[in-house]
Amino acid sequence: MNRLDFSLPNFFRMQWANDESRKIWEPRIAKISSAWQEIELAKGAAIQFISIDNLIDYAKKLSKMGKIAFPVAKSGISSSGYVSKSEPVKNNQFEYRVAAISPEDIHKWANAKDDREIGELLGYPQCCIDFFDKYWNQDKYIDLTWPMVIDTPSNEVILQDVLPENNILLRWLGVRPVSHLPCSFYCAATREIAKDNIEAAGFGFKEEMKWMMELLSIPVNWSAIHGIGEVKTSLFRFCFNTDATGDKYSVSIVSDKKIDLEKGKDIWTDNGFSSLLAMDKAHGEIIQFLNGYIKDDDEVIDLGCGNGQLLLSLMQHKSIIPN
Amino acid sequence: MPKGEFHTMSIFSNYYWRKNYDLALLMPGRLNENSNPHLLIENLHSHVKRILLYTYDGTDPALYFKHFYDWTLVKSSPTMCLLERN
Repeated sequence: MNRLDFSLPNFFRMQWANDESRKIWEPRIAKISSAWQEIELAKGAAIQFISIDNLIDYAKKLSKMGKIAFPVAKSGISSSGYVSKSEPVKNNQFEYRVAAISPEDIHKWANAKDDREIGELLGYPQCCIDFFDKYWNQDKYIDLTWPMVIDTPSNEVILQDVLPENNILLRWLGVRPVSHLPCSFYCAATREIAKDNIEAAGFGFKEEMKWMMELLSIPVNWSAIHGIGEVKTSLFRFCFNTDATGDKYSVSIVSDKKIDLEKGKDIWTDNGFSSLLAMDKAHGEIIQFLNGYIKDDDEVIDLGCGNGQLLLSLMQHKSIIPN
Repeated sequence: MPKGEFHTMSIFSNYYWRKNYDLALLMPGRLNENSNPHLLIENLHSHVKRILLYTYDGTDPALYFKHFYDWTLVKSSPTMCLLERN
Protein backbone atom coordinates (compact mmCIF):
# COMPACT_ATOMS: atom_id res chain seq x y z
CA MET A 1 0.00 0.00 0.00
CA ASN A 2 1.53 3.27 -1.11
CA ARG A 3 0.48 5.58 1.70
CA LEU A 4 0.55 9.36 1.55
CA ASP A 5 1.83 11.49 4.41
CA PHE A 6 -1.44 12.94 5.63
CA SER A 7 -4.45 11.66 7.51
CA LEU A 8 -7.97 12.98 7.80
CA PRO A 9 -9.53 13.54 11.21
CA ASN A 10 -11.86 10.87 12.57
CA PHE A 11 -15.23 10.88 10.84
CA PHE A 12 -18.04 8.44 10.17
CA ARG A 13 -21.08 8.70 7.88
CA MET A 14 -23.66 6.04 7.15
CA GLN A 15 -26.24 5.68 4.40
CA TRP A 16 -28.96 3.03 4.21
CA ALA A 17 -29.93 1.26 0.99
CA ASN A 18 -33.61 1.94 1.68
CA ASP A 19 -36.06 2.75 4.47
CA GLU A 20 -36.99 -0.89 4.98
CA SER A 21 -33.37 -1.89 5.60
CA ARG A 22 -32.97 0.94 8.07
CA LYS A 23 -36.24 0.26 9.88
CA ILE A 24 -35.32 -3.37 10.53
CA TRP A 25 -31.56 -3.28 10.88
CA GLU A 26 -30.76 0.02 12.58
CA PRO A 27 -32.25 -1.05 15.93
CA ARG A 28 -30.74 -4.51 15.53
CA ILE A 29 -27.26 -3.11 14.97
CA ALA A 30 -27.69 -0.91 18.04
CA LYS A 31 -28.65 -4.00 20.05
CA ILE A 32 -25.72 -6.01 18.69
CA SER A 33 -23.31 -3.23 19.58
CA SER A 34 -24.78 -2.89 23.05
CA ALA A 35 -24.70 -6.67 23.56
CA TRP A 36 -21.08 -6.73 22.50
CA GLN A 37 -20.13 -4.51 25.45
CA GLU A 38 -21.70 -7.06 27.80
CA ILE A 39 -20.17 -10.04 26.05
CA GLU A 40 -16.71 -8.50 26.36
CA LEU A 41 -17.27 -8.15 30.09
CA ALA A 42 -18.25 -11.79 30.40
CA LYS A 43 -14.78 -12.74 29.18
CA GLY A 44 -11.55 -12.77 31.19
CA ALA A 45 -10.54 -9.16 30.56
CA ALA A 46 -11.65 -6.37 28.27
CA ILE A 47 -10.85 -2.77 27.47
CA GLN A 48 -13.76 -0.38 27.09
CA PHE A 49 -14.30 3.37 26.81
CA ILE A 50 -16.24 4.77 29.77
CA SER A 51 -17.28 8.38 30.30
CA ILE A 52 -16.42 10.06 33.60
CA ASP A 53 -20.11 10.27 34.47
CA ASN A 54 -20.55 6.52 34.05
CA LEU A 55 -17.34 5.38 35.72
CA ILE A 56 -18.79 4.84 39.21
CA ASP A 57 -21.77 2.85 37.96
CA TYR A 58 -19.45 0.89 35.68
CA ALA A 59 -17.15 0.03 38.59
CA LYS A 60 -20.14 -1.09 40.68
CA LYS A 61 -21.36 -3.25 37.83
CA LEU A 62 -17.93 -4.86 37.48
CA SER A 63 -17.69 -5.49 41.22
CA LYS A 64 -20.85 -7.60 41.01
CA MET A 65 -19.02 -9.69 38.40
CA GLY A 66 -15.96 -10.04 40.64
CA LYS A 67 -13.97 -7.60 38.51
CA ILE A 68 -12.48 -4.18 38.92
CA ALA A 69 -12.18 -1.18 36.63
CA PHE A 70 -8.56 -0.26 35.99
CA PRO A 71 -8.21 3.00 33.98
CA VAL A 72 -5.32 2.70 31.54
CA ALA A 73 -5.58 5.93 29.52
CA LYS A 74 -7.57 9.05 28.78
CA SER A 75 -9.06 9.53 25.34
CA GLY A 76 -10.85 12.38 23.63
CA ILE A 77 -14.58 11.87 23.18
CA SER A 78 -15.54 10.45 19.80
CA SER A 79 -18.79 11.31 18.05
CA SER A 80 -18.99 7.79 16.58
CA GLY A 81 -18.31 4.37 18.06
CA TYR A 82 -15.19 2.73 16.68
CA VAL A 83 -12.50 5.22 15.66
CA SER A 84 -9.42 4.66 13.55
CA LYS A 85 -7.23 7.01 15.56
CA SER A 86 -7.20 7.84 19.26
CA GLU A 87 -9.16 11.03 19.66
CA PRO A 88 -7.06 13.82 21.22
CA VAL A 89 -8.30 15.28 24.50
CA LYS A 90 -9.80 18.74 23.86
CA ASN A 91 -10.94 21.30 26.47
CA ASN A 92 -10.31 18.70 29.16
CA GLN A 93 -13.22 16.66 27.75
CA PHE A 94 -12.30 13.00 27.81
CA GLU A 95 -13.39 9.49 28.61
CA TYR A 96 -11.40 6.73 30.24
CA ARG A 97 -10.02 3.73 28.49
CA VAL A 98 -10.74 1.21 31.21
CA ALA A 99 -9.57 -2.36 31.61
CA ALA A 100 -12.22 -4.60 33.19
CA ILE A 101 -10.06 -7.16 34.95
CA SER A 102 -9.87 -9.66 37.79
CA PRO A 103 -8.44 -8.13 40.98
CA GLU A 104 -5.61 -10.67 41.06
CA ASP A 105 -4.34 -9.36 37.71
CA ILE A 106 -4.01 -5.75 38.81
CA HIS A 107 -0.22 -5.87 39.22
CA LYS A 108 0.23 -7.35 35.76
CA TRP A 109 -1.89 -4.55 34.30
CA ALA A 110 -0.09 -1.88 36.31
CA ASN A 111 3.25 -3.16 35.04
CA ALA A 112 2.24 -3.78 31.41
CA LYS A 113 4.75 -1.88 29.33
CA ASP A 114 3.28 -1.95 25.85
CA ASP A 115 0.52 -3.17 23.57
CA ARG A 116 2.16 -6.56 23.30
CA GLU A 117 1.82 -7.20 27.03
CA ILE A 118 -1.69 -5.75 27.07
CA GLY A 119 -2.65 -7.98 24.14
CA GLU A 120 -1.39 -10.99 26.07
CA LEU A 121 -3.32 -9.97 29.18
CA LEU A 122 -6.43 -9.65 27.05
CA GLY A 123 -5.90 -13.16 25.70
CA TYR A 124 -5.41 -12.10 22.09
CA PRO A 125 -3.73 -14.61 19.72
CA GLN A 126 0.04 -14.23 19.43
CA CYS A 127 -0.15 -13.97 15.63
CA CYS A 128 -2.56 -11.06 15.93
CA ILE A 129 -0.45 -9.38 18.63
CA ASP A 130 2.59 -9.57 16.34
CA PHE A 131 0.50 -8.28 13.43
CA PHE A 132 -0.88 -5.35 15.43
CA ASP A 133 2.57 -4.44 16.75
CA LYS A 134 4.09 -4.41 13.28
CA TYR A 135 1.42 -2.58 11.35
CA TRP A 136 -0.23 -0.37 13.98
CA ASN A 137 2.66 0.49 16.27
CA GLN A 138 5.69 0.29 14.00
CA ASP A 139 4.28 1.11 10.54
CA LYS A 140 1.61 3.48 11.92
CA TYR A 141 -1.35 2.16 9.96
CA ILE A 142 -4.71 3.37 11.28
CA ASP A 143 -6.83 0.80 9.41
CA LEU A 144 -5.51 -2.75 9.41
CA THR A 145 -7.86 -4.03 6.71
CA TRP A 146 -5.35 -3.87 3.90
CA PRO A 147 -2.48 -5.30 5.97
CA MET A 148 -4.74 -8.34 6.54
CA VAL A 149 -4.33 -9.14 2.82
CA ILE A 150 -1.10 -7.26 2.17
CA ASP A 151 0.71 -10.19 0.56
CA THR A 152 -1.50 -10.09 -2.51
CA PRO A 153 0.01 -8.58 -5.70
CA SER A 154 -3.08 -6.65 -6.80
CA ASN A 155 -4.80 -3.57 -5.33
CA GLU A 156 -8.07 -5.43 -5.57
CA VAL A 157 -8.59 -8.56 -3.51
CA ILE A 158 -11.56 -10.90 -3.67
CA LEU A 159 -11.86 -13.29 -0.74
CA GLN A 160 -13.89 -16.47 -0.77
CA ASP A 161 -14.96 -18.77 2.03
CA VAL A 162 -14.43 -16.18 4.76
CA LEU A 163 -16.38 -17.32 7.80
CA PRO A 164 -18.45 -14.74 9.71
CA GLU A 165 -16.26 -15.42 12.76
CA ASN A 166 -13.34 -13.95 10.79
CA ASN A 167 -15.17 -10.98 9.32
CA ILE A 168 -14.15 -7.75 11.03
CA LEU A 169 -15.28 -5.31 8.31
CA LEU A 170 -18.32 -4.07 10.26
CA ARG A 171 -16.33 -3.10 13.35
CA TRP A 172 -17.12 0.58 12.77
CA LEU A 173 -20.74 -0.30 13.59
CA GLY A 174 -19.86 -2.27 16.70
CA VAL A 175 -20.68 -5.50 14.83
CA ARG A 176 -17.67 -7.70 15.43
CA PRO A 177 -17.08 -11.27 16.56
CA VAL A 178 -13.81 -10.50 18.39
CA SER A 179 -12.33 -7.55 20.30
CA HIS A 180 -8.94 -7.61 18.63
CA LEU A 181 -7.86 -6.78 15.11
CA PRO A 182 -7.14 -10.13 13.46
CA CYS A 183 -4.03 -10.82 11.40
CA SER A 184 -6.03 -12.22 8.47
CA PHE A 185 -9.51 -13.12 7.29
CA TYR A 186 -8.63 -16.75 7.77
CA CYS A 187 -6.96 -16.63 11.22
CA ALA A 188 -7.82 -19.89 12.98
CA ALA A 189 -7.05 -18.52 16.46
CA THR A 190 -9.41 -15.60 15.84
CA ARG A 191 -12.11 -17.98 14.73
CA GLU A 192 -11.83 -19.97 17.97
CA ILE A 193 -12.07 -16.82 20.09
CA ALA A 194 -15.09 -15.68 18.08
CA LYS A 195 -16.81 -18.99 18.73
CA ASP A 196 -16.09 -18.66 22.45
CA ASN A 197 -17.49 -15.13 22.43
CA ILE A 198 -20.68 -16.21 20.73
CA GLU A 199 -21.03 -19.05 23.20
CA ALA A 200 -20.40 -16.66 26.09
CA ALA A 201 -23.25 -14.53 24.77
CA GLY A 202 -25.50 -17.46 25.68
CA PHE A 203 -29.23 -17.21 25.64
CA GLY A 204 -29.14 -13.65 26.96
CA PHE A 205 -28.07 -12.34 23.59
CA LYS A 206 -29.27 -15.11 21.31
CA GLU A 207 -31.13 -12.79 18.98
CA GLU A 208 -28.28 -10.32 18.79
CA MET A 209 -25.78 -13.05 17.94
CA LYS A 210 -28.09 -14.45 15.29
CA TRP A 211 -28.40 -11.01 13.70
CA MET A 212 -24.66 -10.45 13.95
CA MET A 213 -23.83 -13.71 12.20
CA GLU A 214 -26.41 -12.91 9.55
CA LEU A 215 -24.81 -9.51 8.89
CA LEU A 216 -21.28 -10.91 8.88
CA SER A 217 -22.26 -13.59 6.37
CA ILE A 218 -23.42 -11.38 3.51
CA PRO A 219 -21.11 -10.02 0.79
CA VAL A 220 -19.20 -6.93 1.82
CA ASN A 221 -16.70 -4.65 0.14
CA TRP A 222 -14.10 -2.41 1.80
CA SER A 223 -12.31 0.18 -0.27
CA ALA A 224 -9.96 3.07 0.41
CA ILE A 225 -8.61 6.01 -1.55
CA HIS A 226 -7.34 9.49 -0.55
CA GLY A 227 -7.78 8.71 3.14
CA ILE A 228 -11.48 7.89 2.83
CA GLY A 229 -12.60 4.35 3.49
CA GLU A 230 -15.94 2.91 2.49
CA VAL A 231 -17.69 -0.32 3.44
CA LYS A 232 -20.64 -1.43 1.33
CA THR A 233 -23.22 -4.15 1.83
CA SER A 234 -26.67 -4.70 0.32
CA LEU A 235 -28.21 -3.01 3.38
CA PHE A 236 -26.01 0.05 3.86
CA ARG A 237 -22.74 1.76 3.17
CA PHE A 238 -20.61 3.82 5.49
CA CYS A 239 -17.46 5.87 5.11
CA PHE A 240 -14.73 6.77 7.56
CA ASN A 241 -11.15 7.99 7.72
CA THR A 242 -8.49 5.49 6.79
CA ASP A 243 -4.87 5.43 5.65
CA ALA A 244 -4.35 7.94 2.86
CA THR A 245 -3.36 6.53 -0.52
CA GLY A 246 -3.20 7.85 -4.08
CA ASP A 247 -4.49 4.59 -5.51
CA LYS A 248 -7.67 2.76 -4.71
CA TYR A 249 -7.45 -0.43 -2.68
CA SER A 250 -10.33 -2.86 -2.39
CA VAL A 251 -11.14 -5.99 -0.41
CA SER A 252 -14.32 -7.90 -1.20
CA ILE A 253 -15.73 -10.84 0.71
CA VAL A 254 -17.94 -12.80 -1.64
CA SER A 255 -20.75 -14.98 -0.37
CA ASP A 256 -24.01 -16.42 -1.61
CA LYS A 257 -25.77 -15.38 1.61
CA LYS A 258 -28.45 -12.70 1.37
CA ILE A 259 -30.65 -10.92 3.83
CA ASP A 260 -34.32 -11.24 3.00
CA LEU A 261 -35.96 -8.20 4.54
CA GLU A 262 -39.36 -9.86 4.55
CA LYS A 263 -38.00 -12.86 6.39
CA GLY A 264 -36.06 -10.54 8.64
CA LYS A 265 -39.19 -9.16 10.21
CA ASP A 266 -40.11 -10.54 13.58
CA ILE A 267 -41.35 -14.08 13.13
CA TRP A 268 -42.59 -14.59 16.65
CA THR A 269 -45.12 -11.82 17.24
CA ASP A 270 -47.63 -13.11 14.73
CA ASN A 271 -47.55 -16.43 16.58
CA GLY A 272 -48.35 -14.63 19.81
CA PHE A 273 -44.88 -14.83 21.38
CA SER A 274 -43.12 -11.93 23.05
CA SER A 275 -39.68 -12.84 21.71
CA LEU A 276 -37.76 -15.23 19.51
CA LEU A 277 -36.43 -16.87 22.67
CA ALA A 278 -39.94 -17.54 23.98
CA MET A 279 -41.01 -19.02 20.65
CA ASP A 280 -37.90 -21.19 20.32
CA LYS A 281 -38.38 -22.46 23.88
CA ALA A 282 -42.01 -23.41 23.27
CA HIS A 283 -41.20 -25.08 19.96
CA GLY A 284 -38.20 -26.83 21.48
CA GLU A 285 -40.44 -28.44 24.12
CA ILE A 286 -42.79 -29.76 21.46
CA ILE A 287 -39.93 -31.14 19.38
CA GLN A 288 -38.48 -32.89 22.41
CA PHE A 289 -41.92 -34.27 23.27
CA LEU A 290 -42.20 -35.79 19.80
CA ASN A 291 -38.77 -37.37 20.03
CA GLY A 292 -39.14 -41.02 19.01
CA TYR A 293 -42.61 -40.56 17.52
CA ILE A 294 -41.70 -39.17 14.15
CA LYS A 295 -39.56 -40.57 11.37
CA ASP A 296 -37.55 -38.93 8.63
CA ASP A 297 -40.02 -39.57 5.83
CA ASP A 298 -43.16 -38.83 7.85
CA GLU A 299 -45.82 -36.55 6.45
CA VAL A 300 -46.79 -33.87 8.95
CA ILE A 301 -49.52 -31.28 8.78
CA ASP A 302 -49.66 -28.22 11.00
CA LEU A 303 -53.27 -27.12 11.39
CA GLY A 304 -54.00 -23.46 12.05
CA CYS A 305 -50.32 -22.86 12.19
CA GLY A 306 -49.82 -19.07 12.28
CA ASN A 307 -46.80 -18.47 10.09
CA GLY A 308 -45.67 -22.08 10.16
CA GLN A 309 -42.65 -21.61 12.40
CA LEU A 310 -43.44 -24.65 14.54
CA LEU A 311 -43.44 -26.94 11.52
CA LEU A 312 -40.30 -25.31 10.15
CA SER A 313 -38.57 -25.85 13.50
CA LEU A 314 -39.72 -29.47 13.52
CA MET A 315 -38.34 -30.04 10.03
CA GLN A 316 -35.02 -28.42 10.92
CA HIS A 317 -34.50 -30.50 14.08
CA LYS A 318 -33.97 -33.71 12.21
CA SER A 319 -30.91 -34.43 14.33
CA ILE A 320 -32.85 -34.96 17.55
CA ILE A 321 -35.50 -37.10 15.89
CA PRO A 322 -34.25 -40.66 15.49
CA ASN A 323 -35.26 -42.76 12.50
CA MET B 1 -36.27 -34.75 7.31
CA PRO B 2 -40.04 -35.06 7.79
CA LYS B 3 -42.08 -33.54 4.99
CA GLY B 4 -44.37 -30.84 6.25
CA GLU B 5 -47.37 -28.94 5.04
CA PHE B 6 -49.08 -26.05 6.65
CA HIS B 7 -51.62 -23.42 5.93
CA THR B 8 -53.08 -20.84 8.23
CA MET B 9 -56.59 -21.53 7.04
CA SER B 10 -56.23 -25.28 6.62
CA ILE B 11 -58.28 -25.92 9.73
CA PHE B 12 -61.27 -24.35 7.99
CA SER B 13 -61.16 -26.29 4.75
CA ASN B 14 -61.22 -29.87 3.55
CA TYR B 15 -58.53 -29.39 0.94
CA TYR B 16 -55.84 -31.19 2.90
CA TRP B 17 -57.85 -34.29 3.42
CA ARG B 18 -57.09 -35.51 -0.09
CA LYS B 19 -54.07 -37.28 1.33
CA ASN B 20 -52.96 -38.99 4.51
CA TYR B 21 -50.59 -37.81 7.18
CA ASP B 22 -48.51 -39.48 9.85
CA LEU B 23 -48.91 -36.61 12.26
CA ALA B 24 -51.10 -33.54 12.67
CA LEU B 25 -50.18 -30.68 14.96
CA LEU B 26 -53.22 -29.03 16.48
CA MET B 27 -53.78 -26.42 19.12
CA PRO B 28 -57.17 -27.71 20.30
CA GLY B 29 -58.47 -24.25 21.14
CA ARG B 30 -58.69 -23.74 17.39
CA LEU B 31 -61.60 -26.20 17.36
CA ASN B 32 -63.69 -23.47 18.93
CA GLU B 33 -63.01 -21.35 15.86
CA ASN B 34 -64.31 -24.02 13.53
CA SER B 35 -67.99 -23.94 12.62
CA ASN B 36 -68.00 -27.72 12.25
CA PRO B 37 -65.37 -29.23 14.55
CA HIS B 38 -66.92 -32.68 14.27
CA LEU B 39 -66.25 -32.77 10.53
CA LEU B 40 -62.65 -31.79 11.15
CA ILE B 41 -62.22 -34.52 13.78
CA GLU B 42 -63.79 -37.07 11.46
CA ASN B 43 -61.38 -36.06 8.74
CA LEU B 44 -58.50 -36.29 11.16
CA HIS B 45 -59.54 -39.79 12.08
CA SER B 46 -59.72 -40.81 8.41
CA HIS B 47 -56.48 -39.22 7.26
CA VAL B 48 -54.10 -38.91 10.23
CA LYS B 49 -52.36 -41.58 12.29
CA ARG B 50 -51.40 -39.40 15.21
CA ILE B 51 -52.37 -36.00 16.54
CA LEU B 52 -50.35 -33.79 18.81
CA LEU B 53 -52.60 -31.56 20.86
CA TYR B 54 -50.60 -28.75 22.40
CA THR B 55 -51.18 -25.43 24.14
CA TYR B 56 -48.95 -22.49 24.90
CA ASP B 57 -51.11 -20.87 27.56
CA GLY B 58 -50.96 -23.69 30.07
CA THR B 59 -54.40 -25.09 29.23
CA ASP B 60 -54.50 -28.84 29.67
CA PRO B 61 -55.24 -30.32 26.23
CA ALA B 62 -56.93 -33.25 28.01
CA LEU B 63 -59.90 -30.92 28.37
CA TYR B 64 -60.56 -31.59 24.68
CA PHE B 65 -60.45 -35.39 24.90
CA LYS B 66 -64.23 -35.54 24.73
CA HIS B 67 -63.88 -34.72 21.02
CA PHE B 68 -61.37 -37.53 20.44
CA TYR B 69 -63.18 -40.57 21.84
CA ASP B 70 -61.85 -42.93 19.16
CA TRP B 71 -58.20 -42.18 19.85
CA THR B 72 -55.70 -43.57 22.33
CA LEU B 73 -53.44 -41.43 24.45
CA VAL B 74 -49.83 -42.55 23.92
CA LYS B 75 -47.92 -39.77 25.65
CA SER B 76 -48.83 -36.72 27.69
CA SER B 77 -47.44 -33.73 29.54
CA PRO B 78 -49.31 -30.86 31.24
CA THR B 79 -49.53 -28.98 27.91
CA MET B 80 -49.17 -31.71 25.27
CA CYS B 81 -50.95 -34.95 24.38
CA LEU B 82 -50.08 -37.34 21.63
CA LEU B 83 -53.06 -39.33 20.43
CA GLU B 84 -53.02 -42.36 18.16
CA ARG B 85 -55.92 -43.44 15.97
CA ASN B 86 -57.61 -46.65 17.15
